[in-house]
Amino acid sequence: MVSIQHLSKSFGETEVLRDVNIEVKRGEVVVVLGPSGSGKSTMLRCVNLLERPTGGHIFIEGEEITSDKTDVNKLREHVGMVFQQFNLFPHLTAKKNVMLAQMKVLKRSKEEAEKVALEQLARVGLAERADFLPSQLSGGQQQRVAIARALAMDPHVMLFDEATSALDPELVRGVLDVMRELAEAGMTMIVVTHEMGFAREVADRVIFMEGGVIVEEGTPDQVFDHPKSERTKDFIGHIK
Amino acid sequence: MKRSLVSKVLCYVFAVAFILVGWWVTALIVKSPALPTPAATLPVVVQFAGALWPAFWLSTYRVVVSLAIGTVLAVPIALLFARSKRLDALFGPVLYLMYPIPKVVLLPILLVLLGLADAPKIALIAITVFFQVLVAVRDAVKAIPESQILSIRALGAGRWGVYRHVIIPATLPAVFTSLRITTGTAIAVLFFAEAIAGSTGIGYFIMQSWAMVNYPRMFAGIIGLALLGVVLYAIFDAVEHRVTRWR
Repeated sequence: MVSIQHLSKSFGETEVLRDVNIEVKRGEVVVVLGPSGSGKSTMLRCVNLLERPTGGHIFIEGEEITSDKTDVNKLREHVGMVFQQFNLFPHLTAKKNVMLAQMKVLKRSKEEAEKVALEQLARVGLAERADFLPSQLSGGQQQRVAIARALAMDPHVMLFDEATSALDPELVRGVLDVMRELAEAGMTMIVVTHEMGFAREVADRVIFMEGGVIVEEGTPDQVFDHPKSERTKDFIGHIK
Repeated sequence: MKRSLVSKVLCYVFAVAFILVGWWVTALIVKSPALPTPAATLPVVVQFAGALWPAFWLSTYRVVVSLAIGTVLAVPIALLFARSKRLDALFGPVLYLMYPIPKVVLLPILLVLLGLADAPKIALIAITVFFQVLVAVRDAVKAIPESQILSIRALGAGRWGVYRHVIIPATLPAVFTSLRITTGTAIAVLFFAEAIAGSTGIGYFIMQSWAMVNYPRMFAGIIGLALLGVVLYAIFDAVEHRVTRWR
């Protein structure tokens, strides 16, 4: 489904990613862990070309997206992304937030976009908040609207970049529940997070990154309970 | 809703009363014909309203046209500069050097180039407004978190989509805030320009009254100019509330 091969990325002289290789199968949930500055977010942004890789290749559903011929906007229709900051349009209601990109990018009619928006808002448990402005919603609810907005585009793969890091602890659960349900429904997901419980419960595979390289990779049991690398052991020990 | 409206009106009634009492007390302390009491002034304002009216409209026209020109030129340039590292690097220092220069010093040049009628006054105020709005909007665009731009790009938005749905809505409050702040400066510049050059407008009306030692007439002009400022400020405030209702 997603194949990242020998990916590298530099910002000027600074090398942020070095020879990163990740294979994600359809329906698989891969959780990426690592300290700040380890390159996790940059790797994720390379997958929908918000950052242009300096080297290597990325394939999504067999198509090379790192080729110059790739239609970037077409690619982004299939790759949903949720960020740490919710970044909803503050002047639009929850429903209109979910409708806008459907109408502008997918060219759906207003009626169809509204129908999909209400379905997706219901899916994240916010059907009754459809007409609320973002400022009238809690952080957790805003993040769930952001997830609904991404899902409304019918993505084939979802990327989550520390989607719960900006939330108060009591609001994290609602967002993680939505992500858990998505995983159970068979969505292919690459998740950058510090939520160990989520990673243990939901991930098919866990990747630990540091200094722009993959240090360790395995099942949650392997990485959390029997880490091979001292660095992974140290990191897991600190965030447990 | 009704209750909040009533309390808002009461607040404004209090503010007007506060200003009138302050004025009255100051006038009683100063005891100068240059500062008459409100009771002595208000009948005079009514008396001179007919004479003031044409000057008031002319000044209103000048300041509104200047605000419009300054804003219409400043906003697109600010949006463009703030999102282009190259343009910002090139013109940022120019703006940095030009912004603190008091634009009123350009009046003699404008008078030579554009004559004594409306043009130099409108140009001077427009230049003042231009720089203030430019800086405020540019800073507002720069303050938009990059993640906000990334998240709409991740949804498939192109360059225009980013402007249309993120940058413009996010900078609207800054446009109106800068307009409200600039209104005071614009009217000050208007007074200066009208007082110095030509024989029209409230600025001229005030200084002519002062030269004739006709202080009540001068006060009628001052109140007219103050009213112009308050009305423009209130209009921008109301429009801002309307177009940025989500805040």
